[in-house]
Amino acid sequence: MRKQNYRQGARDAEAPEEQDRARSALCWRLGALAGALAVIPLSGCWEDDRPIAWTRDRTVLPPVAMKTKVAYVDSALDRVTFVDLSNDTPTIDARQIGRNAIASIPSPDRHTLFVITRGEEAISKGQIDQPPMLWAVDPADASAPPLGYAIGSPFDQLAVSPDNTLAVAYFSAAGPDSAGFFRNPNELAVIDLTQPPSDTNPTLKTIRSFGAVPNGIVMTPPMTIAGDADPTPRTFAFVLAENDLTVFDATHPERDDISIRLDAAGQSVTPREIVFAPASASAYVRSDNANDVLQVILEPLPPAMPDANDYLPQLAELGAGGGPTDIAVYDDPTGTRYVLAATPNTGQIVVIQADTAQFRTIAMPDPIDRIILFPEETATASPEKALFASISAKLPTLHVLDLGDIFDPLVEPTPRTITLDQPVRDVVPVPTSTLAMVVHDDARTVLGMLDMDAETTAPLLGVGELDAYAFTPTGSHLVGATSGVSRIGFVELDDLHPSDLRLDTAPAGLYVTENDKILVDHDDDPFGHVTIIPSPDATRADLRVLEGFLAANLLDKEP
Amino acid sequence: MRANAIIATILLCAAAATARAGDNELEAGGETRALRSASADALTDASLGGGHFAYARAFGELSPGLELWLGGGLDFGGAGGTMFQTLTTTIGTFEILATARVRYRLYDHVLATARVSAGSTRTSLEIDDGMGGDLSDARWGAIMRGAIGLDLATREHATWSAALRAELGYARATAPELVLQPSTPDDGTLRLPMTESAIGHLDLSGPFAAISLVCQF
Repeated sequence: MRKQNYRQGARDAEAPEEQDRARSALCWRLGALAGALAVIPLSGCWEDDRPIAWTRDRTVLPPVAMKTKVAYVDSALDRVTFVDLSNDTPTIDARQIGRNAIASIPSPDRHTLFVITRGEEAISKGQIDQPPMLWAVDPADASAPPLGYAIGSPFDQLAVSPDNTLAVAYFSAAGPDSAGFFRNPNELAVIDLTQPPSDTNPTLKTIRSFGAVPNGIVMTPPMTIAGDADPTPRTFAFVLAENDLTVFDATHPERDDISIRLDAAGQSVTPREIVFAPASASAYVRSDNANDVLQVILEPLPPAMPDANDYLPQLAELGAGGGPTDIAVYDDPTGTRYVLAATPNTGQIVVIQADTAQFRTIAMPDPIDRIILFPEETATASPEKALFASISAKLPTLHVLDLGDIFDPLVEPTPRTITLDQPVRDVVPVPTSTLAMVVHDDARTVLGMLDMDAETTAPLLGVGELDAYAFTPTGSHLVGATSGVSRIGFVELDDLHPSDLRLDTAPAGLYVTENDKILVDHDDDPFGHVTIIPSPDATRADLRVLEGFLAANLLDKEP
Repeated sequence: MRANAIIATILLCAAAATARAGDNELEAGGETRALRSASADALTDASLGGGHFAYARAFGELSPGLELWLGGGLDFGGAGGTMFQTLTTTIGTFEILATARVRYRLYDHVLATARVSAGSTRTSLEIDDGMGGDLSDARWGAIMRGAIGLDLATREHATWSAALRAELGYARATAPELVLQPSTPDDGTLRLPMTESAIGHLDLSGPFAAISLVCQF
């Protein structure tokens, strides 16, 4: 109070400059008050909500080798990242896809990558309402946005037709995850990949079931049904399930499916392999616990209604008679299709002329369960020899059969036997060559290279387990890696000369592109860590390491 | 915690002498900065906490009662977070600042203060995947700060004084492009040439609040 009185008295006597100073002080005080009031709204915007995208679970799906690129699908960043090995210097490009990727599948020719995303519901800031989608990603065209098809359910498996025109999404037996409320394991989505997404594309359908769920779907090449009113080539889907084979017209998915019971009240029969003969609209099915190879012939049937099926599957059991364990199919130089079936119970190989269903048997000295044809069938070349092995029996013998006159009734085909020092655990053909890698032990440390021309083998000893391996597309080299060992091994298949390269980090997987470049994935960095080997002949100085490519520009991305 | 802070503030104010006891000033305190950029949100949901030390010297009055102080200081801060449930992130900053400050006495023990600072800041980022993988990078950039606040003092006419300073301001920092690199032991091995992809630009700009103990002598 005393101070206030003093100030009041002083103000009465103050000079003009003192009055200015007092006014100035008042201004400052008012300014300070305004500043204090400004703090109130400022405090309101102190915190912001972190978008939920950054707290999602993250899974990087296993890499997929495309033509000259290797694709990584990131379920949290919702993008496909391609490591492009087309040129001398690797480059990175990424494409945005939908939320929560759960599966990635390359097309048969590896020109297109298909990714299934589960989608999400918008229940928090940063989330969006998005249904399950199938994304078709073109690795070659970075400017083309991925094409998304709403597939209705979070399927986790995909079958693509050999001509890349149709795809069928379906559930695995276990399903993608535990999310969701109901799941219809027999529901399918048929996608016409030549048409844009629409209300009628994809088509959802539920196939008839007798209690089993699909364990695989195989699509036929385009084929016509002889004698049918519709001469347009069509694709059919064969759904494999325990005791059940379902066929439907994938080109006209609105038409009913047709179920074929495989069991005969005995052991359950599980279809395992299926090969097609498009010229005769036939399929040949090998099943576990089945006595014969089942031929399914699609024959014309006048449709009862406009949208009804115009075909009917006719069944025939081809005289394998001994429980086929492996089948192989090839076209001879005249275009005639043959199916080879191994029936170890009868000690025979059954040769079936696919278009006529005629067959003959060839006696084999061992219980055969693996058939490999050489050379690999191409558009211009037909296989000339078949290699037979007894993997389950672990026998140290292989058998070779000439295919040239295999169906000539005047010739008695006789297999030639190659005797090895060690039991055969696996046989892997080398692409575009007449070589095969023979594995003699489970750890893949004792190997042999079989030359199908000379029908001789050469031993090859691995220092460590061959945990990951690949052949170069030209068949010039075998590339192998051992987990925990920072080396990549090469075998030059012309002369079996081995060499290796020291890496900085142990490999976890290796992927070979069609231009003979090798990507070694180290799987030790959440943001990507690979070593690029430009060619099998490269030296250590040629190698290049890429780091952090999965998180490229991550912080510049708005979630 | 809040009660302790209030008691400490009262004690500091009680112990404080004049806010203008000499031409030299030492300041130490703590601050928190709200990280509001999209890049910072990617790494953490926490604010950037830290501290600072500063020295300033009085350079007279710009106008009657409006003191000018010039000086410099060091700021440091850090924040931790989690990305994608599994990745542990650590953000760090270290700043070297030059500061110009003005003060004006509002009341006997209350002074208004405003400052601008400019300098360099080192932004560091470390990401640990919890399985032995450790990625990090640090880059230098520029930073500017502006703040207004109040100095609370209790006594005048002493040879030294102390005051409690509370400030609110905004820090604008350049967003350096960070390129995360794995920590590799230097065991003499010749490493393969490596191409690292930039994770992007980390922007640590944001409003901040600071509280400091100021001594003048």
